[in-house]
Amino acid sequence: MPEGRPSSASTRAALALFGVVALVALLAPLIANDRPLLARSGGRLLAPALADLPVVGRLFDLPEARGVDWDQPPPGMRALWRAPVPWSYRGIRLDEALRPPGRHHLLGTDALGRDLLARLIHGTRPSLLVGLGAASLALLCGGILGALAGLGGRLADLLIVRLVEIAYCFSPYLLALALQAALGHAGVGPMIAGIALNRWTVVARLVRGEILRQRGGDLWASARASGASLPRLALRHLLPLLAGPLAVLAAFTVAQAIVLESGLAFLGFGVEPPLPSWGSILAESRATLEVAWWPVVFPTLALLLVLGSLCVAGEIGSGGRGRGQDTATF
Amino acid sequence: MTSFLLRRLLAAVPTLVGITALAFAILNLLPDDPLIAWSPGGATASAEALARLRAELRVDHGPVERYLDWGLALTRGDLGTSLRDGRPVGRVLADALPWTVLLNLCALVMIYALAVPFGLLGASAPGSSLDRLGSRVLLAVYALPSFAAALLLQEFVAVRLGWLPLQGVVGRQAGSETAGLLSHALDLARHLVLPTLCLALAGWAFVARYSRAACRSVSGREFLAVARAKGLSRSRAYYHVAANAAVPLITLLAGIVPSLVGGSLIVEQAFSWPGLGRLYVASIEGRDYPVVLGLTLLGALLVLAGQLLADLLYLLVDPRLRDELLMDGLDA
Amino acid sequence: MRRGVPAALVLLALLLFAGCAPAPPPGSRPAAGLPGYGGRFVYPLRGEPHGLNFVSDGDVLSSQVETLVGDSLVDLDVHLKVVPRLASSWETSTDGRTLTFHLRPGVRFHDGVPLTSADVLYTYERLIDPKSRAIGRLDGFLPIEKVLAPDPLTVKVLYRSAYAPALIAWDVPILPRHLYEKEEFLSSPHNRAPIGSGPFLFSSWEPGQRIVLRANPDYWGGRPRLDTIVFQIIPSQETTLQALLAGEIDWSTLTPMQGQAQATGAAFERRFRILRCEALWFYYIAFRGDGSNPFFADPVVRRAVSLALDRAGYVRSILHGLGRPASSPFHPAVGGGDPDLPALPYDPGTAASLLDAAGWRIDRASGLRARGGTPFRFTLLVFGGEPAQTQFSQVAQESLRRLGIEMAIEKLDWPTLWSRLQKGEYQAAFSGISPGADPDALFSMFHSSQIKGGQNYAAFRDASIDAWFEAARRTLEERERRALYQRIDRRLAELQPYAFLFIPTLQGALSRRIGNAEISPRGLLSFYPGGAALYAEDGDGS
Repeated sequence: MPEGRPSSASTRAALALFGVVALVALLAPLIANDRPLLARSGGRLLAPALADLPVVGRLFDLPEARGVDWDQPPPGMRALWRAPVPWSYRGIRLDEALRPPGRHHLLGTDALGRDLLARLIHGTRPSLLVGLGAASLALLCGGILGALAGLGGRLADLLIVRLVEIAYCFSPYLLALALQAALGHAGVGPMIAGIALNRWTVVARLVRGEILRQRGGDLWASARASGASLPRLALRHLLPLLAGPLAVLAAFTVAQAIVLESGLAFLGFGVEPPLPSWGSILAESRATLEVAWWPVVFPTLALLLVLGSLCVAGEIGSGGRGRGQDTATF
Repeated sequence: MTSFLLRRLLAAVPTLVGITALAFAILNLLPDDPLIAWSPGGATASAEALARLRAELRVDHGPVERYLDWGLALTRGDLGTSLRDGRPVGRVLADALPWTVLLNLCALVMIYALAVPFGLLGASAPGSSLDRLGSRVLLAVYALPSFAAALLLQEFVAVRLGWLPLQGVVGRQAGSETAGLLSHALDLARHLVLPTLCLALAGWAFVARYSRAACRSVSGREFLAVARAKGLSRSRAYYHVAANAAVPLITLLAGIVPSLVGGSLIVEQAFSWPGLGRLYVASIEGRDYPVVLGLTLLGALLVLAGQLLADLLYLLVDPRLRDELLMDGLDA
Repeated sequence: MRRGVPAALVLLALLLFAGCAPAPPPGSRPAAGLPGYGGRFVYPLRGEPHGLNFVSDGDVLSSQVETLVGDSLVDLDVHLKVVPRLASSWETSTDGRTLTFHLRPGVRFHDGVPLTSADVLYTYERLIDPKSRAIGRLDGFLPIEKVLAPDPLTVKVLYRSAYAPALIAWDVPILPRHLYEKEEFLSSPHNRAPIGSGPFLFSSWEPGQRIVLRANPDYWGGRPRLDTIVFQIIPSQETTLQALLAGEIDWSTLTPMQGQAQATGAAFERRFRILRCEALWFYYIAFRGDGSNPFFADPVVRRAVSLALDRAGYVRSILHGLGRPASSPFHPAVGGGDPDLPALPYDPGTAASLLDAAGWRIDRASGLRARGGTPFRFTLLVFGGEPAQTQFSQVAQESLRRLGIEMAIEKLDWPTLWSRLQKGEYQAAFSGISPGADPDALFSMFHSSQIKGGQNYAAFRDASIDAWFEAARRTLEERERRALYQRIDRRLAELQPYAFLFIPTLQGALSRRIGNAEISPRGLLSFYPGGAALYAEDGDGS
């Protein structure tokens, strides 16, 4: 895709970085865990850390490995292979509160003595989940409704454009708060829905605008003349045209969703504790900024890396789509 | 032109109805107690006392009826009264609106004044070290959450250096009646700098990126080279590029206006700015529904006005779009 | 952890009589040689008051302003003792049913009209009228049969039966009848530009920004030293401290962390002085004990959970010692509790054996405690707007997890939390309460009549507690009353309907420009004379 442009290296770097972060999110329990990856109990081999993995964890969940303090394991048990970051994201040690970065805690500890690195690693999960979830939901809804508006009749267009205008006026903060209250629980779901409900409008606008623009063009006329059906036209001809702008928009939407998540956490309505997200780590450490810089700086850096890679990837996506196309349609 | 305006204004009516109806529905979803509006922080009171007050405050109508009542009063220009302080909602909004408009206008000017030249620069010399450095700085600024930016600006510029006031809109000695109009204006301007900067931070990267993409696509058509070959001066060529690139920038304006109003929420909170964002948070926390509805309506009006303004600017910059807009009556 | 009895006694005595900064007697003026009149004091308010109607707006924000603009019959001093204000004296009839106030002669409202017993009568009438929405101030007036004004300087209050906490309710500032009578009470312009008879005159209210008061030169207690008090509205705690450091305001409360990190060093000491006092505030966990969940109807389970909470550890490491573990709802500054009652220790071992005995045993398959196939898994509601509350909830979560109890945390905004507490739609909730300056204020938290629609969120029902609270309310004899509350305290310690956790320490920094300041358990300005006694070193004459 990048056509050997000078920036293809940074595209690859950006995409690779995002991939690594996604991988970290997926494998967080194997990277940061106070339970060992491999242990021996009597004659048996156990893999206690694997029990914390999302779907497959159940297979490795053994009663005898639960609630064991692996720093001082009971007789007969031994940790063979500790996780790279041998701390739990929820292990509170009040006596180790706000330790600066050092040998034991590479990035220091937070106000409750929890290892910051472990929390950052586990924090990638809700942050990315909110970002990717909200962006894909927004792209899906916005894409379908935008296409309907562009390709459907005048009535569909009118209704959808009105809907866009209406939804656009609601701040994602309000939507997320209201959904939380209505669903009766806080957490990731209402946040994704709230952000997506606001952001789909931008996608719909873009898609509809591009369709309307192409409708008058030669490409459209020739395709219609050769008997292409509307859905076929949309998939074969419009989608490739839209891919670039949509990629930019998607990247920005993911970035925006991550920022919004941290804003909601700032207002006190982030993920449910003790689960960390980058936003909630930031919000929690605001009160201790004066004595401890590390719980503020490291999540900010993490945000910066991910948002940066998203922006670079998104921008190259638009640039690499090829010359001659008018990127300036939105 | 007049018919275009008229059509646009008429088209806004169903949108506004939809917006307020949706807002009303959302507010009805929130679990609440009418007493909340009068007991900030949850005053301690006995069951007997609370029962007496509840009996007084009982809501007899269903939500649909209440919405219709509200809409009917609205046609008479009556937005209802605030549950919190008993004042007309119009007055409550009028107190906060000028502050938010002032803050956002300043931020908008600051965003465009910096981002557009940067976009042009990036487009004229893509990949140059200056362009790369600039992108990185803007990216860093974009990724900085606004509450963190506010804290840092306040700590360093206002507290440590003492260059600018930290919060509020008037100085400590204001009201001592010795100061003239000029010093009042100066005082206000000094109070404006930090919140404006904080609000502009997030907008910069966004606008710069778009304007850069836009300019680049224009220059990508070899427009610049051709213009230069034709003997146009460098500045003249840039002018043409800028005019062409202005189209998406204007669309962006319509997109940025509402996000500024919503986005100023955290900045207003951090800088004790007496605007709509803070009112919004306080009214939602206090379940002051008439004010929340009034704010939603006002926000919607601002968004629609922003879009209309953008379309008018379109016509000004690119007359080719005129037919399309007039025919369609809707923005793309 | 278990404190010895004598140690507890000494500690309580210390707190009762020397808990706060030593104070000159109320109403005393700065000694000769101090700076003269003038100067400005800028005080931060966390939010904007709803209004300044003395009757309808009784929340913390409004009342800080109202107590300076208005004048009440009686008020609380820095030690929470009742002191005279508009009423120069009072007496209670022997049957305890009649309370007679004698008003100070010659008191005038700010517009020059004399304040008489008719104004007191009018204020009472507005208080009990539900249309006035006097939430939070209504309670002390409900037991009144009628109020009489036999002459302009005498007010007679007749109670339906003897009512021990009668006096304290009369700290409501008196409204000017002649101004309000002509207007719609709730939408009167005076609600945003109040006229009272207090030490300061209302000057201006700039919405969202500040409220300005000026000294009342004709105040009956003498003109206040300060010229101007500005209430500056600053919503964020971080900004408040920064504004203090930048010299924009003169007072800021300090979180324990701020106190440790920013309020130290010679430069700080030169400019500011730290005031501390144990706050009139409790944090607690309420257990819904009405059987709607399988856990908390059993007092043994509640006690076990309460024993598993590391109050002292939290106070030591997170509050930096600025707080006090408290397992009794009777505040040391208010009194009433049993001084011999040992504080509840942190004892997970006993907690585990109590749970085992109650039938909640560790289930090998899930690792959780369970009884009859029901795992011990519940949700704690917590207010999301204050990080300290979420923090403590997480500490509790970890402590309980080690005990084999899984506690989820749900963060809510305040209205949602309040309405779910009111409706009883919860299993456990972390919250805070200001207990009031008389132990009778706890009635609404523990009496069974307060379960439906009141503040007995735990749905706690105990016949003897009910009877003792009712008796204490009717008992005027101080010793007898104290004995009743001590019995209540002991029984509550046993039953643990709520796990009381700790009392935070109120801490703030005050500019050295400002003199004669004290801090009460309710704050810097929430007592008498409070703001009226302050003076500015540099009386800048503005």
